[in-house]
Amino acid sequence: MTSTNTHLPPLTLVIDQGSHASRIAVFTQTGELIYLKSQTIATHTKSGISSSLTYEQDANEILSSIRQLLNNIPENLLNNIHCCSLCTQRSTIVAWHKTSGDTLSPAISWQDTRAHSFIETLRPFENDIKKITGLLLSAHYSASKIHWLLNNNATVKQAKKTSQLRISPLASYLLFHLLNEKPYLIDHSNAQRCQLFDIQQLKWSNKLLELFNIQQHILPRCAPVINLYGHLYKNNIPLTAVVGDQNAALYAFPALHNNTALVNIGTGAFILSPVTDIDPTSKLLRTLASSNAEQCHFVSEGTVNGAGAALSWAQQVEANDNSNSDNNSDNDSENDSENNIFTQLPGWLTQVSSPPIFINTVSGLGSPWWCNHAGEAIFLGIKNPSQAQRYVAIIESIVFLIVKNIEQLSIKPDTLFISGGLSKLDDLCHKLADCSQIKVLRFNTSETTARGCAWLANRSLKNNHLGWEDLHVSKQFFPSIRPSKAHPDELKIRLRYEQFVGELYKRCQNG
Amino acid sequence: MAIPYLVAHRGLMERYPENTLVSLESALDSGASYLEFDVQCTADGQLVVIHDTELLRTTGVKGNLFEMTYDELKHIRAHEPDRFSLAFFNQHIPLLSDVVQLLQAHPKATAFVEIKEETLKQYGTDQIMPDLLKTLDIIHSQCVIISYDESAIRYAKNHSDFLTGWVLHDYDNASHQIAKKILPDYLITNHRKIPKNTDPWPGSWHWMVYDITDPELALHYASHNIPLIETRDVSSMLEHPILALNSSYC
Repeated sequence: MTSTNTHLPPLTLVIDQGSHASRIAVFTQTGELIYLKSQTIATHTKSGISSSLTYEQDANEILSSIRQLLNNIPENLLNNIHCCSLCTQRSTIVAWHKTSGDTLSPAISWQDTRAHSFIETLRPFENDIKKITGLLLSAHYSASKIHWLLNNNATVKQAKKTSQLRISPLASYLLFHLLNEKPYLIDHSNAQRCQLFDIQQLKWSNKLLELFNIQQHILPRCAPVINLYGHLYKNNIPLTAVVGDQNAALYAFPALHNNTALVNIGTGAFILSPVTDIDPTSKLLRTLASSNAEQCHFVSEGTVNGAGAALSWAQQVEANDNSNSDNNSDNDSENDSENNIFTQLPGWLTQVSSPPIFINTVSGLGSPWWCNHAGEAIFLGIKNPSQAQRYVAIIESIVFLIVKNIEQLSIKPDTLFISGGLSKLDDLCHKLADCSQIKVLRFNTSETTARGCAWLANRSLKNNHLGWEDLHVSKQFFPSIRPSKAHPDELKIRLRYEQFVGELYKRCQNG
Repeated sequence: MAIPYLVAHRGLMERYPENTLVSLESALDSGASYLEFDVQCTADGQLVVIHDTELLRTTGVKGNLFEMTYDELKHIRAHEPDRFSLAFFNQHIPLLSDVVQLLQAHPKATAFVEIKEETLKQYGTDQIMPDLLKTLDIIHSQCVIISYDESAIRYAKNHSDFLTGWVLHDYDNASHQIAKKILPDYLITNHRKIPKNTDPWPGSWHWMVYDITDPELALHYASHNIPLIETRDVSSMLEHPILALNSSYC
């Protein structure tokens, strides 16, 4: 993939720090990806099953993975890079020392819901919080995690006493360490996911800071997504955009019309629609997708927590079941088993026509349920399902959660753009088209987050005549059978879907 | 009718300790589109935002900036105890880079950054200016470098494309001749120095006068080709319905 051309036109570098891996990508002026390297990041869960609400990563490991990837970029590419940008997993936070920049806590992942019981005490303020932040009340967002750190972590408490405490989204920590200027800033899109950010005023909400008992000075300053943040320690490259990973994916595609929605499936899955006139009772989020000095761009967003995370969960359960006294968290064996699953999935999806129903509560239920007490993830319908049946059921459950969110959109789309790692599975796309009865389009790249981030980086440059070429549709998936009026449940997948949805509502109510 | 733009003098200094982050940020929150603040340099070469080299007036502590390192300075509070008692005890002397971050978070705001004569004399223009320009580079399009010292203006014009503003000690013929030579983008003076009811020297520059807290007077100067009015109380001034038309919220 590495180009050997020594006289390249200006290139754009993207640092894409996702839940699962750190990636470095380089794009040409036409938007062509010419360099991509990644390094996997470990996630540490305390008990290792879905009831575990503790998901942690090591911010130092994340930082060194990025440094290593940056240091390995070939010189001929590096010398032609004219700007760069950073996209990160959203809602993941870390506490660190103001002067030294050393971490004071693990990075607490967006998947972590340890402060769930505190969040429940704020139910009376749910509507206010939605109005100010655009977000539903949830322990996945940063505010409750920051509150938890302030109250439960001795190192954090000590740093607070000496006025050396910073708690920030991961992006601020990375900017501090990667930029020569060592800024303490966060972009509007990542700030929003803290659940403390006023999306009208574009600043931290005093009311919410008070409610969560967080002092503003420990948080970074908020700046537009498209903005000069500083210069990278490598070659002094200007960093001109910072954005949340899912938000970035939106900008990889041709502009969305009101009848189009984007489905991006990674560790979590996200459904983004340009229609923002959603009613105030909607269970979808009003997401600040990007901003510059002049304006903000908002979209509606549905959130599925258990996408790739559900597959990881299943692998972990299998590993636990097979475990003996051996150390089974060895990285190599985890990667092996992961690769193994991904090679087998396409075959399993063809073989298994009637999978069980997987009640996918992995990482808690996102929109439209917003429920963390839906109980254990289990398989229904088939006793002791085979490995193939289990994984196909998990894939279907991801499709079901996505479809439920599409049904919440105020204008039903007639086209879905699909992206993200799991979208490579043809049968997942088929199932999504069948279950939603909407056409699904897949494009000729899977690195949509990085591509969108590169596009944003170039927006800030003056006199920029970017010859960015639109992505091409690489495959279309049409709904295979349309249910007739006489037989509305003709599609078996729809039957399983209805059962799945009914079960989730029951569980959330009972909880 | 000419509507002037208001420049928040050392932030919203009427209500907050001058040249502190809270003062500068409050000015922006009140709707100011322009800030003015002062830059000096510590003994160990750190650029900080403070007006006087003697610390006593704004900190209540005896000491001279040029004899202190930033490590010593950072523990001192810039809370103007004489005016505000302990109300702003949490305010310190900001590093210039802290204020740069504030401006990054307010990309529509413009800052008049005054590099003080004392610092230029103490360390030399050629020593100070490269650091100043480098620190401000990231918010280059949001800054105007201003100084009483014409050598700083010359340096900025020769070594960068920052906008510049010369602050006049005297409104006299000698200064007029210098202004015509160095051609700054702005000329800045105390409003009392301009003869009453006259337009100031015409030229390629824009005029700014300080310090005005009367909205009617601000409008009067605007009608005499002075588009920028520096004020210690930008918040009250913006309560005037006409001046409010040029607030950042419009």
